[in-house]
Amino acid sequence: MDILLYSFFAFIYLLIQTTLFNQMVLFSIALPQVHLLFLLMLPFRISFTWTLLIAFGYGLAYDFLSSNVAIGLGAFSSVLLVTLREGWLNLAVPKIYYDSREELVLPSLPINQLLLFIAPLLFIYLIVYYFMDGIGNFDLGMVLLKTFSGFIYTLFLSTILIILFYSGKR
Amino acid sequence: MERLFQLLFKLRNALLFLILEIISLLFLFNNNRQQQEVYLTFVQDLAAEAQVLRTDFFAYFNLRNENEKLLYHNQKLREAYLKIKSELETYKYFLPLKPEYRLIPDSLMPKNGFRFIPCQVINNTLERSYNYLTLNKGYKNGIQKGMGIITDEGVMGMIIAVSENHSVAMSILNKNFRLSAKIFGENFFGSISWKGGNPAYATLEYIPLHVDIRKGDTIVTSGFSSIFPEGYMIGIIDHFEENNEDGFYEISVKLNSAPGKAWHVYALANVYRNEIDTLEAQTKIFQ
Repeated sequence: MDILLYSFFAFIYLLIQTTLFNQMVLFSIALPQVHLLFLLMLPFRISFTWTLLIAFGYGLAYDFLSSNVAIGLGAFSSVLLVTLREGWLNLAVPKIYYDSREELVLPSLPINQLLLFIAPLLFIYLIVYYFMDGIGNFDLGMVLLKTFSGFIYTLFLSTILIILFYSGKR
Repeated sequence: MERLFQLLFKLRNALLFLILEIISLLFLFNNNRQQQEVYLTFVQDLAAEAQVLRTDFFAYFNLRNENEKLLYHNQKLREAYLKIKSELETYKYFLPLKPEYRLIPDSLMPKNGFRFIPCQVINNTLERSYNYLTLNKGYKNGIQKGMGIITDEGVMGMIIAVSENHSVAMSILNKNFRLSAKIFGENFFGSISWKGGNPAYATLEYIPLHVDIRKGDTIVTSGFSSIFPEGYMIGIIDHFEENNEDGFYEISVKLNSAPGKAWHVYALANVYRNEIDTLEAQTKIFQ
């Protein structure tokens, strides 16, 4: 049942990302990668092995569905994102919010705590993504500009989505 | 085997992470030209580096053979060098001011012609009052008793004993060695010998006090024998004293040759020596 549910969510996220958010690029630079919210909000009760496989498939699907995206770029960055997410949880979220990581429900965290958890991961994802994208024609200034603008834009839209769609679980 | 599986199971997530990242990179490099070019350049550089390392690695084990080859070539070059040097010596001037002593082949040999026989010093004493050199050439190579020994820098001694393949020379650093010498550019002759002590200095005697000499003047062979040609470098005047009792200078000469450092020397073969010796013996003038 869970697999079907998460597949549906993944499909919805990718659909919205590719049809809507990919068209909302600001100044031809800032791209909101809101679809990452799906990976960031994945419950920790899913085993890490499965999380890795889901991230790989999800990232690869995003690469294939999006135009002008280098195939493999999303998959590489997504796998890295969920791996870092495992370790970052212990540092970013105090133990007072959960007894065991399997029971942790991310939407139940206070909004500021949730943003503190997802923001650094989002930033690392974007810098790796744009760094790998720039290989062969590297321009550090452009990489940083796209990373910072995309980070702020994505974080802003993600916060709105969290408030709108995840507040019920808090 | 079971432990291996247990270990792999423990590391499954790390391994899965690596595998997925590698697959992602393969997708990235195979499907995107921009990244592919960088990847191929990197791989080629890596392969080239690996090739260099491999070559260096095997070259290290081959050093012994390479060294032997180099030694062989070095020996051949040395032989060629000595041969050419010996030939060149035959044609060069002893001193620029004395062109008549130019050494030329036998067919055109002038009266005071000398031939050079290259030798190697195989034993050499320095610390004694009566020092000798042992050379690696003997009468088989044309060495004869009484031949002069020189280096590129100056006089070294005189052959006193010869066997088939070796010879012994009295060093200039031998108290019994005496050599007729003169101040370059002057026609006054003296006798130079080593008095013992510092091996860098010899003493020139019998130069009259009225001769104008100065520190730094060059002392050369006089040519008053069939052993050394005239004008060959011996040393320079280091200091001198006037001996008013006998009316001669006592001159300390800094030797130009360094017997302790000489490994390659030349024996001087005077091609007219037998003729001169025979003539002098017949007339009994110098006996």
